[in-house]
Amino acid sequence: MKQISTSLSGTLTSNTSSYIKKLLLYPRLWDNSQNKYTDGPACDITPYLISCATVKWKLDNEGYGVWNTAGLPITLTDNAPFLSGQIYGARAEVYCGALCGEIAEYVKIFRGFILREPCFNKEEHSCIIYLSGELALLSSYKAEELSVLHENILISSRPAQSSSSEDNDYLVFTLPSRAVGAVLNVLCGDTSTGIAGATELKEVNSYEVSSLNSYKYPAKITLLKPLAAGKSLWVSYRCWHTDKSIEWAVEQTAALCGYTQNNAEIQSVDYEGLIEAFFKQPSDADFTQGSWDYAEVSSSSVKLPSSFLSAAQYDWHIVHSGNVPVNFTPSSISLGQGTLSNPVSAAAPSEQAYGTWEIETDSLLNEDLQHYFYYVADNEDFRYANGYCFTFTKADYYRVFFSFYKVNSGSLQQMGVKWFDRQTHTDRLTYRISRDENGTVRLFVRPLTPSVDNWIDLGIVFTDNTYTTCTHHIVEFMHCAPNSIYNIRLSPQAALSTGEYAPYGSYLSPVIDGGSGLCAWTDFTASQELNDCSGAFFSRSKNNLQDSWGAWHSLTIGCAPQETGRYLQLKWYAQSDQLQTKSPKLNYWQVDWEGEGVNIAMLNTGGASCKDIITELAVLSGYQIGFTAEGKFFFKHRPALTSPVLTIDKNDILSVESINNGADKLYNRVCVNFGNYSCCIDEFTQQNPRPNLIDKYGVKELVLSSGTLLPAHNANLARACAPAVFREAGKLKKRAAVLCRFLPQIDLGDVISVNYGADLSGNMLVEGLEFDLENWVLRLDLCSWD
Amino acid sequence: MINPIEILTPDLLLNGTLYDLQGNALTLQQGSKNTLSGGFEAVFPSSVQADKVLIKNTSLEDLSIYYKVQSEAEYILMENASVFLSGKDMLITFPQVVQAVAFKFVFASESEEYFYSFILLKSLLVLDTVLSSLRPSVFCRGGHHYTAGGNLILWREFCKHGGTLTLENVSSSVKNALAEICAGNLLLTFIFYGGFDLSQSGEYGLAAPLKTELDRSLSLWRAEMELAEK
Repeated sequence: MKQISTSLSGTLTSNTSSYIKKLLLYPRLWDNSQNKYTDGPACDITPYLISCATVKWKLDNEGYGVWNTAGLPITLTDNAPFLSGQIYGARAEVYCGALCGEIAEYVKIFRGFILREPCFNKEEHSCIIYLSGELALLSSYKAEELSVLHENILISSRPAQSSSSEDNDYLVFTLPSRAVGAVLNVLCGDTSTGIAGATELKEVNSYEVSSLNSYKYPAKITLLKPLAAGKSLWVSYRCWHTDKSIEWAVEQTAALCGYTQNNAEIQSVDYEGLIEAFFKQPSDADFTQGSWDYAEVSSSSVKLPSSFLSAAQYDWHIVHSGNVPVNFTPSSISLGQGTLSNPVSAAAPSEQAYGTWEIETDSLLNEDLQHYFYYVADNEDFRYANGYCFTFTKADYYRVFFSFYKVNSGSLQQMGVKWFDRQTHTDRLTYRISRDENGTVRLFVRPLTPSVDNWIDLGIVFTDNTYTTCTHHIVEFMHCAPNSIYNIRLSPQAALSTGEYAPYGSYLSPVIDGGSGLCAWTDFTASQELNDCSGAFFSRSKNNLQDSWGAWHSLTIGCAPQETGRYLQLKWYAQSDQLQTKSPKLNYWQVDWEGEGVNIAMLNTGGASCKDIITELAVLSGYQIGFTAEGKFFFKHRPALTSPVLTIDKNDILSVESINNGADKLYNRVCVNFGNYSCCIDEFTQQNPRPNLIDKYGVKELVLSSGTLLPAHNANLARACAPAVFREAGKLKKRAAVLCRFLPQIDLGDVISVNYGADLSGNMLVEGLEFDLENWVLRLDLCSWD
Repeated sequence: MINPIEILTPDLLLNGTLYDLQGNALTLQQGSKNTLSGGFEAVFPSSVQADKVLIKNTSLEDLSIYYKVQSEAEYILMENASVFLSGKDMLITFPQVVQAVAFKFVFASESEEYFYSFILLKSLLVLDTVLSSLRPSVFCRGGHHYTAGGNLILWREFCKHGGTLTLENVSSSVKNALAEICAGNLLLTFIFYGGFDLSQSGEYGLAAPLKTELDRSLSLWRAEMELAEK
């Protein structure tokens, strides 16, 4: 209810009133400094007013979520001076009130804008002006402005010396942002002169744009010809806002139209029902957006790498030189022809104390050849080193002994010996040593000559964890030459077998934000192809981004994560099969959660007006939108039960035009379709006692949808929204149209008490108002409110 | 000269620009309550002739009037003007017609005063030798409702005076002067002397053209004017 003075209230409810009306017009003035229109001084146009039609205001009672624009035609004399000027867009305010003694007191009852040209009636010397309610004004603002503008961003510079073989690298350019709504321009020019000398490329002729309006992926620009050497590319583009709350979107849209904190009342959206949302990889974020150790990650799947060893990059240097030349490559070392007078050693810096060492060697070519490989050493000189070393000898024609030593300040302590026999001699072989984090050392060997044989698993040799750090890897050659080791391959992972697949690996999802209104993580599902291997899931959480993570907990498919923090991370730990020849594969995983309140994933406002956006957000939230007579924009909850602000009875009511039980505006089934979701609620799903409202009145269905604003995979708003809408629309509410004395203090959405006999009494909500300023009566559309 | 009727121009202040005594622009709402302290000044683009001021429904009891013959000249105090008071209405008559480019009205009291209309006029014609009769009428925009409970609600939005002014024994010269005045002005100010209730005096519009009728036996005219309050 509008605030009015006691004296005006007394006058309005007395038997005799002197009603008055006043119209003020605020022509727009162009302000050059601000480059926009501002309100000019008020001009009283009442002296020119001949008549004024009924001022009508309505809530969305015709259909749920359908908003009508109030309109008011007024007739003026055609000699009014302002009519000859530019009055489009001017604001007009209608006041009415009464004379309290000699003092005129007014209440503002309407605020509208001239959005149509005046219509002159020369015969009658009059002119009709149509004032549109402010909701219509929102249609004239483009909501596209509600986006982030990135101007002249340097996307790529091709070096001047770049050759034509690199052309393909300069064809497709990925913009640095997701949710790109529009590429505004693409400029190409010499890198040396910068953007000032760049020229604009024309779309279709010079480039194409793809992946626009995608929440997940950045947009791409594909040039039809490669970017020339020495040229740079600058792009201006517009991105939609992402992950914003409904009220934030309303606030920003209203602010675009000039309704900021002072003249806007925007309530936050809280659903009584919980929002169900989920995060699914790879559809919400492809797998490359996570992080991993020892995993082969594509956009759609995660596997173990099929080759876990990589060629060594040793930087050899001679520590003990001899009479025979030594040759190095990063992954090999070989001794020239001759007989050594002293042992020769070479060392390369390396910190690898655990993992896998795989080496091919010809040290078995004759029985005099031998080498020691210090796979863990803390000194480049083996005479002073601590660590572990390995060597092997041909004991007789068929048998090869493999010896492992612990090296304590250069002296060797044997830790284990293995051997193999086979039906032929062995000249060359590959050996693979692995040492896991417990210090367990395994050995695998594979004869290479005279024929390549299968790998021989010699099993665990010993376990010792005395030395845990390493500074060098050392090779010591003894006795004769030539003698060489080559194809040295290393991995920080300790092999469990002889295959090429990584023995294990892990993948971490991106951080998943359950939002500030998170209630619980409710479900976890995943699909993995085990392929004789194994894969396990884990999760951890934290409450704030800057906090450290909690402990990992095991996660079972079909069960809810036990975490409660807002930010969640998933882990997949994969192990290969026993022979390291296969990998499991993760195809997708998904975690679900419930929350209060919701964010809109991507606010795609392209091509929409501010009114479209606000209307759609009102439907999404089940809220009311409109303007008070004071011109204050509101986006608020439908009124909760309130005490009546006024009582009207037979002394105020002139006549009751109609009363009905409200069955024509009853919706006993509400179906909400948002994005990929739909939710239907009716009398049966609510298990209301029968005969229920569907039994009595048949199915009356209300379908709400919001396809454009929300990305298809947005949170399950439907589930939260449907009950709220059903609660409003699914009740049988008595409706009445009542003609009563002129009471301008009544506002839309007020609850008033009506006392008019048995048929019409109780608290009722004012859904519609019609002020008749010619006959000074008020027509109310009322709806029962108990 | 019993109960003459004086016909005057419409409000001349409408042709000028008004300022309060501090030099701020001022707009008067004729017919509505205007409150002002000190007085005000009216400046005209070219000189006007005036000889009367009519102030209605006012708290003013006395004021001084100054005028300026040329825009560069000093204000001259109007002396020997006669004042007629009737209830809350006031009529000031200048000793002679004044031709001026600016007028200044200075209120005698220093407190805030109010008035509903303040109009500057020049006499056009005095009908002193004719018989006149005025059949007044009142136009009220108003109405009433009975509520469902039988409660009467009576409302008014505004009331305007009007009426039919009938003149008899009008000589040809006066009739011609009257016809000329009516042709040149759709709005006129009427002052009804006599019982001297100024409340009916004021600006009226001619809702219909002047009707005249010749009494051939007397060679005198009868004229009828439909008046509607501005």
